[in-house]
Amino acid sequence: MAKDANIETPFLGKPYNYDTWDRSGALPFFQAEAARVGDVAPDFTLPLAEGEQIALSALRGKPVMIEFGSIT
Amino acid sequence: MENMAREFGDEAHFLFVYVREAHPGELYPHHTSFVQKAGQARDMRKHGVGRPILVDSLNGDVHRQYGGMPNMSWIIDHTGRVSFKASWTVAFDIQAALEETLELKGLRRQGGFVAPYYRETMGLKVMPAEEVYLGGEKAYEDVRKVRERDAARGK
Repeated sequence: MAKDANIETPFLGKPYNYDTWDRSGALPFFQAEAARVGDVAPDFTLPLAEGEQIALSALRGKPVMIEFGSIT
Repeated sequence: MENMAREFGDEAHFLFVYVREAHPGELYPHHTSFVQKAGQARDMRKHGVGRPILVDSLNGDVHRQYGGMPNMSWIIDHTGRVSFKASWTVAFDIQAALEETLELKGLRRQGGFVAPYYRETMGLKVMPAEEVYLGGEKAYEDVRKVRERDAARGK
């Protein structure tokens, strides 16, 4: 799968998908390049876990609350 | 967050973006393929997430773009602008911010004169004495080592 080709791209000097948490990848709060309050939110299109795609821009008209996270 | 998503109902969209495992372990290891990542994303259902779950790319493209924090929250207003962001997801904060965002939306649509202002706050989250590390024993050991390191440094 094409997306798997990016697996080695590091994030803040370490592999994005690390196998041992040691807090070295933790940021002060946010990466500096991230959007600020008041900015237009960067659009993205991602697949749902169960299949179809959702684009953030298609949800305009109502507020969108986005939580980022993982199981662990 | 699940209760809140239900309470707001049709007033707002709630999304969960599944990103890299923060505390990988033997039960939930770090991702090495998108197929594996999508599979673990579906396992979020077993851990109580009923909201739509979006699966980020293996390389975390959307996660990086939005700042890379492991459990951050963002609120995008009805016009597509960021109205709130926090590096951790705390329900109390989300509730207040979302209510305010909706109130502003209503005022604007009624022709109200609304002046935006900017604020920053820092919250402190009290960590439970015994956290559960769903990644498994290894995930717990990783955290224990960092805590010992911090304690040795007197942090």
